Amino acid sequence: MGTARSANADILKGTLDVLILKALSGGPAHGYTIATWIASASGDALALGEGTLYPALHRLEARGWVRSRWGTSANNRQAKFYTLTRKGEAQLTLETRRWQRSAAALFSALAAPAPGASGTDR
Amino acid sequence: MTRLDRRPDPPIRSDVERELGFHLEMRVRELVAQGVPPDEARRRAMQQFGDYEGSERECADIDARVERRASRRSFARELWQDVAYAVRVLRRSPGFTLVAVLTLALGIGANSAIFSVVNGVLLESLPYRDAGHLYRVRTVYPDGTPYSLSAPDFMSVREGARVFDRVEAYSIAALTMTGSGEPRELQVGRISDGLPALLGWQLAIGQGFNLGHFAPGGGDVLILDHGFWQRAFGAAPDVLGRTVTIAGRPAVIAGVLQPGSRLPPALDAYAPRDGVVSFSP
Repeated sequence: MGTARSANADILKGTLDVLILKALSGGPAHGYTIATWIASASGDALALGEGTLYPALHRLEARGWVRSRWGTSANNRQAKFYTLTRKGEAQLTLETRRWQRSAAALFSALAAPAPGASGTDR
Repeated sequence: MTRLDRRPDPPIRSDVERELGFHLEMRVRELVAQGVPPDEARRRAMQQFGDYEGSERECADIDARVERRASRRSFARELWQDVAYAVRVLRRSPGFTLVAVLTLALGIGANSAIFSVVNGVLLESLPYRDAGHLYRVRTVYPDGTPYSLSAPDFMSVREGARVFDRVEAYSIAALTMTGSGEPRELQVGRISDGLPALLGWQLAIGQGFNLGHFAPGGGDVLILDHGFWQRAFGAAPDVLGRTVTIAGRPAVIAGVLQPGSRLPPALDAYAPRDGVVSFSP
């Protein structure tokens, strides 16, 4: 069970970046908002803990896909807000297309009849 | 007088700590708002967060890398800006630029000129083997003036000195040479018998002096400085055995020295002390 779970987590870690970009496509947000949105949109992406969101955010910032700035939250606290950069927007478009393509490929494979299903097995 | 209390300041919370702290605080608030008791809310928030220390460290590492890269870039950019600014300013005031460049040029030039002299005179040793062991012996008169030794004094120093391996002498005279083209004045060094060996002189051509030349009336012979040989005789190899007239007396040329073989002052020719030139001018 442990290996199945961590393999799942590896896949989802790859999706975390694109989910963050997507979360920010609606406008600037701080980590807590992003984490809450990801948890509701895709139950498992933060399976290893909400904390894994922050290294991902800092990595995206280092790549220039997001920008951060300290601001005041809705409840009047200091929070770090992230904004999508143009480079990040382009990356989101690219990633979205890539995921759509591979998902479409997987769906059509799953919809196709299996090799043995035509009744001609040996 | 009281001693100041040096309790350390509480550590400044880093950006990463503040960011992660905000997240936990928000989560706790939400749980408390749902009716979870604060302690339990804090525990659950931490559990949902996962590896707090790992996340914090990872964020700090990424930020440090970014900062290092940025500071390298900004150093290069600032350096370039400084250079560009300097060029602009210098171009705007050519007079100042000229003065500055000349000042630097003269300063550097004067420095290297002085160094060349100091290096030659003070730092470089004499061009002889064991130059550090060469000493000049002089007579110091009661008023403190140093003088060269007289011939008898030299003989007695040579006989009596125990602190030296060898004692040799030279004296210099300006003498007229005739019998080879135009008459010319020569700086002639009159040397004692052991001086060529002491200074490690080498002959380019010829046999040079033998001991007999140094005996009283031993012979009217001359060896030439290499440079003088080139200047006065066109480096002709057949000068050997030629007779020239020095101060009215004939002398036979017995050799030419190698370029580095010379006394500290550059002279034109050398004669044995008891040979061609009588001792007292």
